[in-house]
Amino acid sequence: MTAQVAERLIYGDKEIPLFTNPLSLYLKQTGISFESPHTANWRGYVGTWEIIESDGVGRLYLVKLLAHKTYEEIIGLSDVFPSLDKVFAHWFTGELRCPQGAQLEYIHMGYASTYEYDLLMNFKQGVLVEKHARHNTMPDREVDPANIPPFLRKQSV
Amino acid sequence: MFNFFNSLQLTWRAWLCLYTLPGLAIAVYSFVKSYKERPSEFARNILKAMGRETSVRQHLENILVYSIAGTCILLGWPIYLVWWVVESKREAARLVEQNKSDFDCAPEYLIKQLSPSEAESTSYIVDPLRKTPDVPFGHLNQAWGLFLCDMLDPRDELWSFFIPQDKPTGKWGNAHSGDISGFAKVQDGKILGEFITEGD
Repeated sequence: MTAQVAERLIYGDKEIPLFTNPLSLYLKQTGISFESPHTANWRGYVGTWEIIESDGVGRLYLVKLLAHKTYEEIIGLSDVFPSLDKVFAHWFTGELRCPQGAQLEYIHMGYASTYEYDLLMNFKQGVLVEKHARHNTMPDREVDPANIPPFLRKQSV
Repeated sequence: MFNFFNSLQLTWRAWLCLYTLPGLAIAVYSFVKSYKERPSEFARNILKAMGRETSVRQHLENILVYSIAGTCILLGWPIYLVWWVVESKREAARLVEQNKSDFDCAPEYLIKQLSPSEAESTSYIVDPLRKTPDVPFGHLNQAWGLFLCDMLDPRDELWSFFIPQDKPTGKWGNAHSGDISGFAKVQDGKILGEFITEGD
C-alpha cells in the first residue's frame, strides 16, 4: 500500500498535515464512499480540519473537503453537508496525530512514516480533551543474527 | 452381491476399465476446469511483452505434470474425491468466515437494553456554532434512521454498548485510539447490526 496523502489541520495560523481520518466513521455510518483518484489516496478525499474554541472549549470542525465523486468530478463540503460551511465532528473520539519536523523514516504504507515528533491531540465526542507532543527517534532496524532462522543464514563452504 | 459380480464374468482388464471410468470423468472435468481458468489472452500478451512467455521447456514440463496428475487421478480417484470434498468444505467454511459481518461490538461490550426513544433522549449535540442539526445524534441522524429501519423483526433488541480504548475490536482485532460507543441490534444475544455514535 502506498503512503497516503494526509488530511490537513489548521493549527494556529498554519496548515499542518494530519495523519488521522476523523471523517471515516461518519462515512462508514452513512454509507457514503468516494472514488480513489490514485493509489496515494485510497479514501478518495482530503479534508481540512480546524479546532475552533468556544467558551474555553476546543471543538473539531471539518472546514473544507475535496472529495472525488468520480475520477473527474470533485465535490466539496456543501455537497456532502448541504448548507453548511463547517461541520462539528461530534462522532470523533480518539487521537489526532500531526507529524512535525523532519522525516526520519519513510515507509511506503498508509501513515506509517516516522517524523521528528508528533503532535497528539485527544478528543472526546469532538471536544479537545488534551494535547501533547511525542519526540520520535530513528527506528532501530538492526537485525540480530541470532534471530535469523538457520535456513536463511549464509552457508559456510 | 459377490455372486452378482462373479456372474458378470468380466476379465481383469474390463474391471480395470470400469474402475478407471469415474477417474477418467474427474480427470477430464479437472483439465477442462484448469483450461478455462488459464490466463486470459490479455494477460498472456502482457507476460509476452515482459519477456516472460512460456518456453518450450515449460510447455513440456507442463505436459509431464498434467500426465502424472491425470494418471494419479485415474488410478487414485477415490482418494482424490475425498481430498476434493474436504477441500471444498474448507473453502466453503473460509468463504462463510470471510463474508461474516464485521462489527466492532461484541456481546461482552453490551451495557443495557433500551428503547429508541430512550436512546435518543441523551443524544442531542451541544454545538456553540450551531452548525449541527438539532436532531438526535446530530449529523448521524440519517444513519440512525437507517439503523432503526433495519430493526423490523419483533425479536430484535436495541442495546447500548461501550468498548474501552485498549480493547481490540472486529474480526481482525483492530486497535483504536479512543473509546467506542453506540447501539447494537441484538437477537438471542447475537450482534446483527451496530450504530456507532463515537469512535476514531
